[in-house]
Amino acid sequence: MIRKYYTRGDIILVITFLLASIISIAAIRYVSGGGKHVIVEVDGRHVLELSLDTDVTTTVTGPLGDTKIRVEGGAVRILDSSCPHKYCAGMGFIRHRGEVIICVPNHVIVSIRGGNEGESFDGVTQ
Amino acid sequence: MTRNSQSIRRLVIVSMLAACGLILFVYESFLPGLPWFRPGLGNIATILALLTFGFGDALKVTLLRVVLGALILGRLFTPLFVFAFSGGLASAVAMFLVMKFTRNLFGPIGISVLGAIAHNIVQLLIAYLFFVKSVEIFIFIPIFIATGVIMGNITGLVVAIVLDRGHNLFIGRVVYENSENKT
Repeated sequence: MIRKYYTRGDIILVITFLLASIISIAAIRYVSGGGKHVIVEVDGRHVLELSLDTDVTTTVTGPLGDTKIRVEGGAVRILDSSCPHKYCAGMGFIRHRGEVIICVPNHVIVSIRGGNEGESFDGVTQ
Repeated sequence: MTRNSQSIRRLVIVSMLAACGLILFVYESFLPGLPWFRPGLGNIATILALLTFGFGDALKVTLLRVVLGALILGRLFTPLFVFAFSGGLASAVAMFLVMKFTRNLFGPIGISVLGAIAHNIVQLLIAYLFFVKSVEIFIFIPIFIATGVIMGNITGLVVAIVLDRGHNLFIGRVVYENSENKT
């Protein structure tokens, strides 16, 4: 039986962490409705801002080369990137506020911000 | 057994653990999927070394795995190596501290889960400090904790079964038998 390999501490630990992470994932989803803007950052510098309403394909340049970004139907994805593994392109579309696609090798971050001029915090956290 | 044959035995078992961890690590890197959904099977060897011989040998097993694995895969000193190195080190240290300061509270599974979470959080921190430099990536913390718990469960269960079945090879600190009797 698998049960005998768990101590009481193990079970409490696993359940606590699993619940905490599921609740916070759900909370992040709930707080972040549909986004309005796409912010593209390279090396921590804000290089580009796109609206999610207009479909467009654009390119930014990071240390390894070009990263191609596609906005389509209120969502955004990385089409192609000059990084070795293309995990960022494999992540597919994001559409909710607060969601991000990160290409670590090419130092590119694509994130979605909410309605008012890219404000992503409410009055309390600000 | 004489003292000398004891130390030879220990050397052999630690070397075998390092080799097993290395093989698991290299094979795991061929799995398709996103980088943060790797099971971290190489950590099985680290935990076995930690529970059987202590922190020093666990550190040797981890460092050998990370450096030799990077040499085999041709990624020494690339970002992937930096992640594997810092994550492996963080996980070994975290598991050692957990084992040291919570006497018999956690079995192999709890230790492994906490090690996996430490591994993931430190990788996120490294990504923030050296690569992406944007606080947005910390939105991934809950996902990283969830995958850490799931993958830590898998590796911890393997460790628990190995310690249970192979007790004449690994003289480990098997706590779940005691706690089973108590409850």
